[in-house]
Amino acid sequence: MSSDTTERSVRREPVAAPEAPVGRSTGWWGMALFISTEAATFAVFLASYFYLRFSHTSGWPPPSEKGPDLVLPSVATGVLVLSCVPMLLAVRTTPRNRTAASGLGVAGAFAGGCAFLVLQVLDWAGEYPSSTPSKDAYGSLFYVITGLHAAHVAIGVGMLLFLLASLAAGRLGRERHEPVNLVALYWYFMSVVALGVYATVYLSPYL
Amino acid sequence: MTATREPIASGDVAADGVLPERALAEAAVGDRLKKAWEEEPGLIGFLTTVNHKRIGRRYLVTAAFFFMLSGISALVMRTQLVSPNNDIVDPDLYDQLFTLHGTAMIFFFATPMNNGFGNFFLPLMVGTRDMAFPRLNALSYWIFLFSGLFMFASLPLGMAPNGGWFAYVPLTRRIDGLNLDFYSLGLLFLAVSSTVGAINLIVTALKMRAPGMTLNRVPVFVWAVVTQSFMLVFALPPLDVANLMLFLDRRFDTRFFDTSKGGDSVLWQHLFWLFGHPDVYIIVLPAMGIISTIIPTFARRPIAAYPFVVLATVATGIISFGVWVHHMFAVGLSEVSQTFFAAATLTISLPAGIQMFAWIATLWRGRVVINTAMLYALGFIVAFVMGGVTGVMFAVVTFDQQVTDSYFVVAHFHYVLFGGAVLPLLGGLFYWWPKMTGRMVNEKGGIWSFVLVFAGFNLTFFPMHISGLLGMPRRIYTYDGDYGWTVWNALSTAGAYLLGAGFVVTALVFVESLLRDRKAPDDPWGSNTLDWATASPPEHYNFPVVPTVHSLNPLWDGRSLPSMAEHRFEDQRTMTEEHMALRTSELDARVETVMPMPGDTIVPLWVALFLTAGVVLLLVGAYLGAAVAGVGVAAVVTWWLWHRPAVE
Amino acid sequence: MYRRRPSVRVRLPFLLGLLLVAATATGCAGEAPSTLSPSGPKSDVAASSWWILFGVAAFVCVVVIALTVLAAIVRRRARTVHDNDAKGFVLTFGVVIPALVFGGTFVLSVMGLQRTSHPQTDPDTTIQVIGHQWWWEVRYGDGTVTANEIHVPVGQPVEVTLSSADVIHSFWVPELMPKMDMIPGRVNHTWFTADKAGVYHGQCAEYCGLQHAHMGFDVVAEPKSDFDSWLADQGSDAATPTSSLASRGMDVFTSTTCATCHTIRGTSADGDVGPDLTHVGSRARLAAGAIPNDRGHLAGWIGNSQTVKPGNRMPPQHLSPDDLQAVVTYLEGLT
Repeated sequence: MSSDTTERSVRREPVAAPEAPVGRSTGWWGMALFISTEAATFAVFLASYFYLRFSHTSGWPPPSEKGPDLVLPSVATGVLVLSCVPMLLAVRTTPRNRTAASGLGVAGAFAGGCAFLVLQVLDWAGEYPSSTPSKDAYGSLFYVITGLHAAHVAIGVGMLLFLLASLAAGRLGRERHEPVNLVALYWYFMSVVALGVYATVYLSPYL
Repeated sequence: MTATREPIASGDVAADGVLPERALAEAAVGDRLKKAWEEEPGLIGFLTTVNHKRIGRRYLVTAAFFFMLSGISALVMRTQLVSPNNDIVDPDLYDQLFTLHGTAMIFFFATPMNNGFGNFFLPLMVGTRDMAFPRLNALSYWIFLFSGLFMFASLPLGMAPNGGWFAYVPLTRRIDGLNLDFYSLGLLFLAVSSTVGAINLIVTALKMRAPGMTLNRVPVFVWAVVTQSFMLVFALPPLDVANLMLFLDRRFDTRFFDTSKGGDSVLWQHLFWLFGHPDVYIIVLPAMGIISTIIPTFARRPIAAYPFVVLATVATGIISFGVWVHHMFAVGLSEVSQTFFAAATLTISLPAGIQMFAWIATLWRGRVVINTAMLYALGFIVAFVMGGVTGVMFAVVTFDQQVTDSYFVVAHFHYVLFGGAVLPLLGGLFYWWPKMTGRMVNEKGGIWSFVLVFAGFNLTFFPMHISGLLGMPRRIYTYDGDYGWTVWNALSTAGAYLLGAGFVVTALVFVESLLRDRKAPDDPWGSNTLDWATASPPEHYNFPVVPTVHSLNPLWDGRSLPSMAEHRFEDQRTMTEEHMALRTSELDARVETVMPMPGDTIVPLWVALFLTAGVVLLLVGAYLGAAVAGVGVAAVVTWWLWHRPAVE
Repeated sequence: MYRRRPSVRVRLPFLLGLLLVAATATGCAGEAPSTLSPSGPKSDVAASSWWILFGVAAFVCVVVIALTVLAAIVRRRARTVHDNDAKGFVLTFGVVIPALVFGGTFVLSVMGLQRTSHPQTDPDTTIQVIGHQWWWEVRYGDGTVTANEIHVPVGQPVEVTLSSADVIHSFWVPELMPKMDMIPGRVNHTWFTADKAGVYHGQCAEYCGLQHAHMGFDVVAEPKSDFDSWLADQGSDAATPTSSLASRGMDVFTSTTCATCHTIRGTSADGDVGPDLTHVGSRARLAAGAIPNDRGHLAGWIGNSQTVKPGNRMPPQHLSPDDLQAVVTYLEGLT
């Protein structure tokens, strides 16, 4: 037989047992690429925000608008970002079969996500009707960007519910924990986007 | 380097045509694998299959169908333009025809056709048994089909998109009727399919290559498809954002593109071309990958300067995101920005030049065999260099400002798109026909196909350079006879009919092949890539034994193919228990684990149907109904994910 | 596996090249609004850029096509193939030489921009052109308003500001200047000089809806003195009708829907939906270049413009035949 290194290492390596696969899974790559495309989508929206803002010489926000309220969005963003911590807990504990801790982690992230959504809706209620999506481009940008992000968070909340159900049905643990990793990736991404949206839509009008 | 195998003479049929190594492997494990990979027959099988080869074939057939519809639109347009002040069609229909022609050719023919070949052949070329996400693969096909039907259904309703394929606002913001809603919703819907398909191709190429297929042993076609897929991941978002903004502006009165209320029409152009320019390379790169597959095969040698070709492919993909403003040189942007983008546009021509001369070097230093596929490849080189040089001319801003939006640019992009995509795709069809169908094609018919198509193509589009230089704008349903444009239009129309005849002949050639029983052996051309180490057509499981890849030319190096026989008693390489595939590392293709793959299921079809319902409901303004359909999608997806194979 | 010689492909590009040269030569002679028969400095720059580019492009095509075809025809024995051979060839022909060519092209581009950005002398005349679906509103610096026909003094640069009232249009007179877009909410500035007297055809060059094909205009370049008197004429109020038929026409015009869309200065008609008709009789063509300006066409246009430009904004006018003749007589007299 040849002494090709590749062949030798192939023959030497045992068939990887499901408990200890090496390397990244196809699901990981799938989620990473999905996040990439969504990240590009948000990046384009934020870039459009600044494009429209700087293509007009009149002030920003436009004269008929006031700057956005900062209290609710700051709390909401903070809650969402903090909810990454229980998410991380779930990621760490599921492979060790610590289902209770894992469930707590997922539930914590779920609660954070729900809180974010409630606060976001309250924020919209406060801005409406002095600012509306059809009043001007400023309003369109505000509602559509925050709306798109909220929709993404809602989907994430749905994913967390799915994880809770999986945990309750005993389908996650040492043998199978990849779904938690994948949802976690998405959840961290939601926080990153939240920070970007916060900085652009809420903070930048004051800068 | 060991001797390459000789291609069979056309018309010959090999005794049994099976590669000896594959015969050994099949003898060892073929029966068990056939059982493990059994498919449901009939209609159920048709609706539930997740087999990448069947899905790939569907992409090809469906894309060809949309090509035909779109081509007929063009034929009607050319008939209208054969003489001045003609009245074959009224302006409203003409506007719908030219919009649909462009939109359908780009979105519903070119990329899906590339995807069809990618779906069928990428897993085969990297030596695996299926795509990374087989059910998502089925989903992306169904969405493609339904979004295409959605888009084309608008035509018999008299409401086809009529804003041009790039749909500039404010015109498209203002047109009454559903036309532009068909457009924005149709493209948003299709984008789901394109994105999912791209992700699938990338992950397959990253994680499922045969052991030993390190990055520098990956075939150029695979590099091209992966590059194109990465480009889709990043280029579709600007288009999706633009289409979403357009839909919201039209239906909910948002102001993204309303200049009077703080919006900006030019924003649409930036967003559109941020997608649009990478898109032309998304179309052309896989086609060039096909050329990089055909030419080495029929020059009987590996591709020259492989590392440069790969670098050029990837570089084209990256740089293509930095040139979009060259579509906007007449908008009145600053000279600084025009100068920058002129420079960037010139830079992107360099990688194309690298590929061009690599092909020429491969031909020069090889031993050329002429057949239909090779003729199409050679025709591509001729057409693409002509289209490419006129493209370079557009980097001279003042000249661009004369000929943009005229028939000169129409000539340019048809030379690079027809020459750069359609010719390679036809070549790919002839090249891979034996593998996909198990039949050989009548070579004489193939040559006729090439001659008619190539002659018709040149006769149609070359005169357009001239009418454009003579001042004829594009997208006009008629023109005056006083301007000297008539003779060039008449020539183009004659060419269009010749081209149409060429396509009819091409179709007949393929139909004839299916009706005859000229059985194809495993490897009729003496090719060098792994896809030819399978049956023609391949078994459902592709490879009875996953080989070890030792070089860029696994069928020529004398070691990779024999490994198929060598490993035939190893469980990890044969995986006969269930639907399984090997997962390997991203860079070095070292074995990581064995993955169970999903079998046939109807669930992707359900998701596609719910999504279609949602899109239709959005179109007619039933937003509550659309929300309900969305809930339906969520429910079916939940069902789908709940029933995954135990994995990881 | 020898197949028939692909001679079609060898001869075809040469034939096409010859055709191109011949065609553009004819274009120069004929009535075409040809980019290759420039009559102004900006179009000159574009045309000379074209010839340089065409020369280089033709040479590149011939070389590449010849290499390809020769490689296909000349059978060579298989050589020993080294992995990654031909790198030098690919680098030289695929990178180094193109880089030089592109460097030259970039210089051409920058030089072209420099030479077309400003006229050599300051323009005396400023023209504001506003695009509409599907006609051209033309306003001169001194307040003169007209439509679809632009007059300029020969040999003097003219400043043009471009905008739009509805959708994106594009101002293109190939013989005088490369196109520039007209975008609502945005004002684009450009200029051109007509070196020779003549009538130059222009056409909208950005798809703008149903009648994009019929949105043409003429640029008439004439000696300064002729231009000055034209401008003065155009700026004056409308001629009073000189016959009773024309008088009746004026009455019909000002008392019906005509006046709600069109302006005739000096009368009560002050609509601003359609073109200004104060001096419509002086124009060579009607309907943005779609039809000649004569009694028959004018009557047909007024009666039912939808037969000429289906989808345009002017509904059919239901006038009695006598009223129609009166209006036509009146308008023809508005020179």
